[in-house]
Amino acid sequence: MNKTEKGENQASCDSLDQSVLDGLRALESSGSIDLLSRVINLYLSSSIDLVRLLEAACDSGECEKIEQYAHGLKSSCNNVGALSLGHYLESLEAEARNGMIKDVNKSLTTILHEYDRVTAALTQELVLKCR
Amino acid sequence: MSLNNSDSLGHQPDLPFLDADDCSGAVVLVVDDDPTLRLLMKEALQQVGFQVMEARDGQDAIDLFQQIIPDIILMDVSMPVKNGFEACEEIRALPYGRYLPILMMTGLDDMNRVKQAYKAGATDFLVKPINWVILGHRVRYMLRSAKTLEQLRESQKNNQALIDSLPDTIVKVAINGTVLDYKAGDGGSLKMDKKDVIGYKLDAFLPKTLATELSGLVLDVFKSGETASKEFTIKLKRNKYVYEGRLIKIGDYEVVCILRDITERRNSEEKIHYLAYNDALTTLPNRSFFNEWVSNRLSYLRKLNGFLSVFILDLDNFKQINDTLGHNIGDALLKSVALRLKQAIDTVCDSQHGCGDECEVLLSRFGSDEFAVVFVHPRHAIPVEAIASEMHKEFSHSVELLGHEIFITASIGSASFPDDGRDLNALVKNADTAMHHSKRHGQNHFRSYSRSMNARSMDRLTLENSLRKALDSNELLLHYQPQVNLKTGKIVGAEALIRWQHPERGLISPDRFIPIAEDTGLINSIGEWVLGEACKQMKHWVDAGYDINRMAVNLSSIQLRQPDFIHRIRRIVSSVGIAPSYLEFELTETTLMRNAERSISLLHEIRDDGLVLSVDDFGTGYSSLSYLKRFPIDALKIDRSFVQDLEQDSDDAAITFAIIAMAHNLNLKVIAEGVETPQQLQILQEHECDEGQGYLFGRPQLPIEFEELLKKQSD
Repeated sequence: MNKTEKGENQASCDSLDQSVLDGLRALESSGSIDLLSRVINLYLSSSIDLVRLLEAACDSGECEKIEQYAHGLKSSCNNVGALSLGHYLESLEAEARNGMIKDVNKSLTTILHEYDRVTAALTQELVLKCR
Repeated sequence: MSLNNSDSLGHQPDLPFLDADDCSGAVVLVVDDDPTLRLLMKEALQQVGFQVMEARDGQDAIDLFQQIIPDIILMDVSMPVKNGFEACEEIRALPYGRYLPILMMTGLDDMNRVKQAYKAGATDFLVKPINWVILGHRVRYMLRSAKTLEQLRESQKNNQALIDSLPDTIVKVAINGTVLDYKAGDGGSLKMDKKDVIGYKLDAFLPKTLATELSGLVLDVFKSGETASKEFTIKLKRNKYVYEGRLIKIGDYEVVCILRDITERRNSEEKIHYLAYNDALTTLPNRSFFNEWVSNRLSYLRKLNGFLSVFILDLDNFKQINDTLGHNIGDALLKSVALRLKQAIDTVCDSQHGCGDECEVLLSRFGSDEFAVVFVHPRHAIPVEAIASEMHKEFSHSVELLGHEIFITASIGSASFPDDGRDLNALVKNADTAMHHSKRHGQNHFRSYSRSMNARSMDRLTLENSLRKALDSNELLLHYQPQVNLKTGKIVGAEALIRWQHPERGLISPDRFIPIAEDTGLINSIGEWVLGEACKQMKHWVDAGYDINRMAVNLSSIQLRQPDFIHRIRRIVSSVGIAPSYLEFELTETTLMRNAERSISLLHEIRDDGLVLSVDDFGTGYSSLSYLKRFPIDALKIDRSFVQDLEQDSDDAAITFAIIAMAHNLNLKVIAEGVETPQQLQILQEHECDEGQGYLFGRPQLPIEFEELLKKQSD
């Protein structure tokens, strides 16, 4: 492993919990071919719609929808080890459920930023896997 | 970092107790709006052999459920369209949904959701994030326990069906007496609503007596741990119910009471008991009941030194009434007798003879026209005379039955404990003897038992009855024993001896039945028959030309007492047409001496007619020589007991010789009875005894055999 790779790995480590990914790898090795790649691809393709919907909901300030999309996205994030993102989404979900979002723009910005990191890290996982 | 280096986690935990085939092919419905989760679920479950169906929300799940009926559902909570709680609740209400295992998936941090999940009917919950490797096993366990539960439910259902089909009332009771469960039985008396019973103490809904008894028993069973059973009788609304209760301890804290209504069974048992112990006609207790009752009383009277008297009452001439007026009248009469006896008992109990509250009385019917009454008193002897007289009073007037005026009397006998017998059999037998004695002394009499009433009298009575029939049914016959002149050795006479060939008992000795015949007066007709038969036989032999000149017939003192005795024998003798001089009457010393003065004149008359008289069994009775001289007798018959001892040269021998000498002095002929040996014969001959009779010359035998002897002699 070269230095760059290691750095990239560390970047992904911040946003992705390796133990979750290890769990997926374990499941893959016990009989599910390409499971990790399939899960990541599924996440990447399905999460983007939810992120757009969440953005829209935040813009319009509809708490119910914010709660729903945050919850849906959270679940997917947790499955791929994006626990930090999952945590941000959970906070937003909780605030939305209570109808008291402190700073919706700030939360959304944090979430979108982290989402980018997650997708980058996952894409890197895919790339590494392909190698 | 090697991405493939996942050995530590990649190996499935080895769970050997989990059978791989256990649930293979089972269908799992995964419900989640998150596609990544569905994908992971599917992969994880397929790896362990499940089929996986997917639904994206609650409504989707409900629709799919109805199409495929999965074996288990894994369901997310927050979903669009319909959330997991709602879906779970709805599925529970659907066919096959009630017991289906449903696992709700929720975050560990949200306890509220866990609670809500159970409330919605979830079987269990799965915590997110999910451990994918363990998941398959988790689901398999869940299915297995669901299966076990299903089997348990099935067996419970069977048990319940079994329990429900039992006719018993079943009450499960806690140690503090509170009812935990209840099932009504078939018996109407303990049918209650479950809600009125469960959670309450026994006395809150059971009749007080039953509740008290049952609670006591429940405690006993808790303490001892042993199964108990008991019969309970309760009265409800004037009806009597009988329950058979069985109590079984289950675990440490519960007792199950099984109460079976056995009222019907008990009623029919009672009916059977009634029929077995009561006489159907009069409804009085029967002899079996009487026997048990008396035996029972005697057992405690022996300890108490108490008193008991048995009265046996037999209607006089009941058979005649039954035969002439018919059974209807007979039955009605028996019923009226039962009433009259009850009346008599009431009168006794109310009167001063009554023994107060301590006195117990039983009236029973033994059968046919025989009744028995028992009086028991723990301290006083029973006034039997007064009681019998009270009973007789009831028979002093006639009754009208079905248009007939009927008068009947009763013979009563009594026997009392302890004097006349100490057990049931002795008392009944002796009371019966006493009753027969009173019957013999005329109708409507009472006798209390006394020891002088021969113990054999029962047997005598049956003999008496047969004897009455014996004459008519030709059971009596005569044997003849030769009397031989000791000088010539020739048969000179015959003694007619009566025999009774009883159809069942065989030959009955005259010693046995002659006393009965004398007691009953039957001796008169029997005696006349004997005389007639003997006369005919003698005439036959005389007419046939045999050398025989005397036929001896025994006479009883009873016969002599008949006022017209002489006329009777004259009539018989003349009707046969034989000369009286062929006939000899044998009388015992006792017969002669009894009423001696009257006998003398009667015997003179007999002798004047030409008959010969002899004294039978001489030497055994009391004889007054002075009287003997005055009797018109011709011969003495020395009793066999003297003859038997002749060879021993004993005192008896001396007496025999003295009798012979004395008789000769009085011009009486001497006949020795019971001569059995040539030695005896020789001694008798030496002492000039005139005649002899005994086995040496011939046994008593049938006329045809006797005739053979006569024939031989004349040849």
